[in-house]
Amino acid sequence: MNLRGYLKLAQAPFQMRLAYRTAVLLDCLGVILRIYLLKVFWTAVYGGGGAVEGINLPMMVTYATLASIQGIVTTSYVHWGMQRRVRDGSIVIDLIRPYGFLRSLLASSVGNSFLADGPVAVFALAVSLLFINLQPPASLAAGLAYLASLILAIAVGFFLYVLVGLVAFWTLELFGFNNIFEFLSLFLSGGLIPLWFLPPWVRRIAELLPFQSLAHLPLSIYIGKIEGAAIWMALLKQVAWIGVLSAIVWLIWKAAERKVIVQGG
Amino acid sequence: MTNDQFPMTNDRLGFGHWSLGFLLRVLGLVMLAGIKSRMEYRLDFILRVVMALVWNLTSLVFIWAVLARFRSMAGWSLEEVFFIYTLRLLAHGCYCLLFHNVQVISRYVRWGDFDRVLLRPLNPLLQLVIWEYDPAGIGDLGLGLICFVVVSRLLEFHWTPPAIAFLLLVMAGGCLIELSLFLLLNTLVFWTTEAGRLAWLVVGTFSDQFALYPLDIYNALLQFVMTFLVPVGFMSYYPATLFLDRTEDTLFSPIFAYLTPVVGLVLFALAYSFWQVGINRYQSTGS
Repeated sequence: MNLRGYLKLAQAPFQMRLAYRTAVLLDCLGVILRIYLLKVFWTAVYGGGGAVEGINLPMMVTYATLASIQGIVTTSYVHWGMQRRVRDGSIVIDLIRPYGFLRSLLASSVGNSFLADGPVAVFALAVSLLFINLQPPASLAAGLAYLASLILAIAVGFFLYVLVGLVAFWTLELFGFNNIFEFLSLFLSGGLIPLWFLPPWVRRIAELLPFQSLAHLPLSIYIGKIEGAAIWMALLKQVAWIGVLSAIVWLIWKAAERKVIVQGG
Repeated sequence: MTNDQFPMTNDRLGFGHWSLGFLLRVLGLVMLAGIKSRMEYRLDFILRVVMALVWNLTSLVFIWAVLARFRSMAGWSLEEVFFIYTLRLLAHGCYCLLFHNVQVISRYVRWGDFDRVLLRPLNPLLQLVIWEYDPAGIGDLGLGLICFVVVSRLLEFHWTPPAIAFLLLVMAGGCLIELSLFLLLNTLVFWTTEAGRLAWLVVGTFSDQFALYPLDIYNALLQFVMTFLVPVGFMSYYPATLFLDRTEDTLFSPIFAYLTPVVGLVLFALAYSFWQVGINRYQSTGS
């Protein structure tokens, strides 16, 4: 299949969102309320005190706000679609269609993040600015590096969720597995609590896993906790994880292709 | 129905023309059937219990990890915030165990299944709550009880019989508050299709998140909302000021610390009346 076909796949999520406008608006409102709660929470926790671990209150509020906003684009639902296709058997159609299954997932995920979720995230950010005093990035370089790191984060997220989705080829059921995954990802990505506030042993585990690429690395670059040459190191880490995860996804996909169980077929 | 199997009494409760004993037997049988059908898929059931645990643990771990580092928020210690969290979870656990099914209202109405409910000679709301009864809420309530034991140790509470009696009333009141909010918002499905999502947004935000913290961290507007409009403050914060012996700090009035059961009953009466209005407006789906 040529590029045009993949572009069509990438447009589909945007059209879906248009069809469910009220639902999107309500979800958006949920994120905005959450951002407000986090601001109030961290303000109460800091209680007029100074910086903790080099993070003062405005930095922390900025961190929490951006974490919630970028969570809209880094979170993928690609695995639920995979589960459905394996369960109802439509995966077979995907396999005989003239496109690569993984590439088609990538196309619709890119469309989802940039065309469908992107505008929602920008809207949520714009509304949040009404009550959040968002700090600018630590420097111009930090701002640019943040954007690069965010795009890498979206890629890491995509491969992680595809990995979860591949489990469905063996279990047909993702419910429990996805739960454990979400729980780990929430805490080890730094998206909920910055990793610096967690006990050292949790931080050491987080260092070894890909989750910190989703939130901790881009956000640390933005607020200037990671600076100078360390920025390159952080971006390199994300690129390395994309390499490792895509290799694992490809290997498991090769096994899954041979293993397709079709229910009721 | 006049045969001997359906003994008649008057219908003041709207529970059909049945005697109380017969009503209870029917309820028991329907719920048992629900539990049995859930147990057919045992792994699925266990997963849902675990999910309930994980969902609640997420916010607990968040609070614990942050307050272990910062020690307190707005004059409330880690243990006191944990106690507020526990009160909310106990009420929420009761709601999940008993009334979780009110959330099926919007689905029943949108898919037209509600017709069947109206045809049966039993209170429609009661039917919805018990019909596909799911005991997975035992996970929420179980975690709540564990937290209760732990936090009582941490705060060195000595639970006297009157205190326990009041705690049970607070749990019942809090449970009614969450039930009523879901009922009120899901009843909107008789007017708009997005009612289920709206209910989830409002309760998911206020009960699952905002009610976990002391009310005095919020601005005046939110304090007003969480006291008078979406009164989740009564699920956790207000009674907590009484148990923690901090009624001198209670917002608005120290009396509010005692009001949870009353608020629960009044809100339920309101929600139930609104539900009746909604039912009377119901028209089945076209297909």
